[in-house]
Amino acid sequence: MDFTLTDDQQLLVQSIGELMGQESWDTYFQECDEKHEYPERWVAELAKIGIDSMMLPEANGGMGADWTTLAAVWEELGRLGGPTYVLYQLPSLEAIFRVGSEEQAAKVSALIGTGKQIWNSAMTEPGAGSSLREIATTYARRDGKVYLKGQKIFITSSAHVPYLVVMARNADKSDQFTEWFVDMSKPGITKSPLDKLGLRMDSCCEIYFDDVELDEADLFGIEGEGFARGIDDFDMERFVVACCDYGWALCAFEDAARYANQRQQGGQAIGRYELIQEKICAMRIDITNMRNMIYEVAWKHDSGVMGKGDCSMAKLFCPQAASRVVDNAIQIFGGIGVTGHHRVARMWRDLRVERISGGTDEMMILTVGRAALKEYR
Amino acid sequence: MRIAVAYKWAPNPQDALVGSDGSVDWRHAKAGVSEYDPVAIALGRSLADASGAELVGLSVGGPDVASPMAKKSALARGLDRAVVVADASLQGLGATETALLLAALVEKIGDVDVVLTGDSSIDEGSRMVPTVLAGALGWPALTDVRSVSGTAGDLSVERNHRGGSQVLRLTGPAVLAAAVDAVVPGVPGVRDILAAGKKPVEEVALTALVRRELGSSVERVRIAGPEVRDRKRRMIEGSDAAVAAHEIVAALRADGVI
Repeated sequence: MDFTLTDDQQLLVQSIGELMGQESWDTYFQECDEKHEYPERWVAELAKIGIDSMMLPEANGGMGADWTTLAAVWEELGRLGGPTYVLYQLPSLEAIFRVGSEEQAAKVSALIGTGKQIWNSAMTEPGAGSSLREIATTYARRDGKVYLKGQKIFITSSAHVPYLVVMARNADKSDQFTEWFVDMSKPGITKSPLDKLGLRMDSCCEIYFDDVELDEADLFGIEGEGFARGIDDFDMERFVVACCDYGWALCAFEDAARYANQRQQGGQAIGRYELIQEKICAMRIDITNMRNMIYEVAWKHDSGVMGKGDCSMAKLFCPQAASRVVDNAIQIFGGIGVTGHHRVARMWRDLRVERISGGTDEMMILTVGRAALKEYR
Repeated sequence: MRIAVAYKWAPNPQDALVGSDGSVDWRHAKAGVSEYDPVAIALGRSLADASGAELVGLSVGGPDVASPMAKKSALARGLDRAVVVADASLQGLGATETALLLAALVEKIGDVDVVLTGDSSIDEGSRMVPTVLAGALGWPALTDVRSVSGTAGDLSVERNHRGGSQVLRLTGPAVLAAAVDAVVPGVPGVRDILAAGKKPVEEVALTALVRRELGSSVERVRIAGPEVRDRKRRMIEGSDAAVAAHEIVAALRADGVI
């Protein structure tokens, strides 16, 4: 298997390097993390070079980029310390054009290139997390209108996105699950922000829908096929999470390796001590395995041979492996790693959340295990 | 109006390894469009857009100059097309010969009204190419150029001058070397990269150029790093910044440095 990037992919990676080198972005990220603010200025710079639209089909103004390109871009952004988790909405924009109406696509298109937050989908509820069948938010039709009622929780980006695709159950036909494209400025929507351990540059809220009035035109996709749409796009979400985590691990590894060569203790660089070399070795093995898995999944996707459990496998392995790498990096940094806001400390917090958001470790295990067993039935 | 930008496909010294004996190992140095050349391309792009001119990239060097990566990399910066001379015999060419060859290429293309260059190349940094090129063409050379506007045969050029600036008017062709900070070049985006693959590139054979011959040859015999001078190695304790500053100033005065 040849993992060599094409010329175009290499040039894009170089552009990422140039953009990340234009200023000391980490100071900005640190500020945003402390204030729980979305790093819009950074995302706007990425949008300027087309990162927000690169996965869109050429007909929709994108470049129709494949997953290998996505992996290469996310790898470089992460390696240079970029909080790629705030970008999750961008690769998945394609769903709006594939599933949404023309009107919905136009609303989203107006925000492409601006760096602003655009959308997310809302599924999780207090009583329905990993088991989405328990969803209790309902929609009901009255007098030519549709009314949304219920509560969602742990909804990423929900404090600031103008649109949320909300999964709800038909009040009159309880086995029918449908998604609605909800304009978040509508009356009847209340948001209650939640504090978070990590991923703090993006918001997370509890949301209440109190008979929010919608039109039939707000239907997202096909009535009754909400789950199928959502599950189709789970794979990409899981792959993107894996790419983010691998990128940060690479960043932490490079930071730690440079530091191990510089930091003097007992008259020599700490990298000369075998206990540090053991950590560096373990980190390199984890990074190599993550890279191989990510690029193999990308290659399988781009070649049309991706299996059912592939993305879930990467979503399970990468957050755990990246957590080990970043934990080792903190150990190498010693005091610097736990005081003074070094970026490895931020990544350590972020990675702990990654094992839960976008599907828990446990759900990934079930998906991977079942998919593997199915092949031998 | 036709604007040419001379660019170099050069290894990045940041990736080169310098041995303890001063030897330089370039094997791991990744090649790219030389660091200051994108500034010249960006200046050229603005002038071309304002005047409706064509922006042509020129490069001479070893076979790498004609590699798809080198061509796309330069074209993604905003050139309309590129003309390159790539030949194994041109690998590691000196500044004078490079400039003379670029002059021959400018003449071969014809109708060039202005040639822009970067301040200097990232690997050699001699700052000679623009001036030798201008001399060979019989054109004026202006270095440290901050901005340029106007049309063919009537250009207004602002350049850095003794800490300030001066504005010059040019009537006729010229070679302009951009100041390193004339503009901050934009980062090539997805669209620029995709478009670069579709832009025309002409490869001109070395034999198709009318070369000016050098009367003598120059050969590199040795490279050495700067010699480390013996220093006083005096440490000034800095827990109180104001006290430390006074002590530093007093020490520098005592040694006649300031």
